[in-house]
Amino acid sequence: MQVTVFPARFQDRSAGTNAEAIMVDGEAGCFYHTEKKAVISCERCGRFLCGLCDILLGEEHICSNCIESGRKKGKIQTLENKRTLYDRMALTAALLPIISVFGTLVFAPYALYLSIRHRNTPGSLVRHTKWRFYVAGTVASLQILGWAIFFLDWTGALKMDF
Amino acid sequence: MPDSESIKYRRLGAAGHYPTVSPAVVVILFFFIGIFVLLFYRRRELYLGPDHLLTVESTGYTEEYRFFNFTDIQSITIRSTAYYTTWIIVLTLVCAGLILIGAQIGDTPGWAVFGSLAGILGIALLVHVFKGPTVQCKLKTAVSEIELPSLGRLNRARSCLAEIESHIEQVQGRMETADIAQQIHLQQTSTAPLHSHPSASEPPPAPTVDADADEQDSGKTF
Repeated sequence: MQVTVFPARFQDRSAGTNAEAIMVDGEAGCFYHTEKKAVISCERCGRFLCGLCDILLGEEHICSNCIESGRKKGKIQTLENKRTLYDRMALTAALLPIISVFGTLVFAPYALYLSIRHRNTPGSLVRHTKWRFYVAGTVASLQILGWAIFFLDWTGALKMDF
Repeated sequence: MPDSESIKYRRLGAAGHYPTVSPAVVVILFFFIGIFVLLFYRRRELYLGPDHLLTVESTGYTEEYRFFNFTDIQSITIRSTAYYTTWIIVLTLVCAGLILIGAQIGDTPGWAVFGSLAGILGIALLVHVFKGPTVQCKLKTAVSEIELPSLGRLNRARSCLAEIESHIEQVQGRMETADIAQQIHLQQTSTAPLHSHPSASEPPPAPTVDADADEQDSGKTF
């Protein structure tokens, strides 16, 4: 066994802030702990916060509710820890149904939709590439074009002599 | 997560896989669903950023990220595992068994089938041996510990660790072995009175419950 220890292992972890109780009537109280003294207001929702509820995120003082809603809606980028890889979904939707041709009837439009709708959506954090979108879009377009030609020829709208 | 999309990451080691269920459950599931047991595995990669390490857990269509600032990393542990020896024994036995079966059958098609199977497993055995001993690598911070399956081989783990170590030392500084021993000794001596029996002259303080501290713990862990 090999253990590499760094100085952070022996650093003292400072204790967190405590909230002071309200001593005087009429003093502003925390929104979440009404018996605690408010020390700051949330910079997003404006609610009064005590020392316990005040969360410093970057340079912003916000409350736990705003953090939760920001995380769910993806509005706080520093809390984002998960991403959907639409480029891979589009490529799979474009290539996989080729095995059974009729699958392309459904998946080609879906792949094209993903390629257009999410072309500017942030993808993988570690692989900054969009080639999958381009390949998926091209393949899906060709599939749709192929079906269009087939149906036009089948209905007789398109006269092709081979 | 850093808000910049332009951060350049460099992958350390290969992609590692780990089961989302216990190894015993994996073995049981294998007998029921066969190769589809791989669906219970997740891929985890380790990336080196400018001031942090990043682990990426991937399902194929989603990625989950965990950031470890160089300032927060307390230790990295490399522990050897028994998988290396186990796989050598298993693959050798299976190879030998296939060759024996081929020899018992005797005819050319039998040799061709069992010989090629033994050959494929033999190549796998050679690759396994040349990749070196298997290890379990763990990264620890003050509040978390994570396994790094991408550093699953001793040689790879050591080379990556040397690189990570240099980055961390640039931020945290370097600790000599004597310093570490001294710090551990100091910690042990500072915690010693907690384990010793209190004397009659010094009555122990009454147990108290710090409600504020409890609230703080539950309110600020996110």
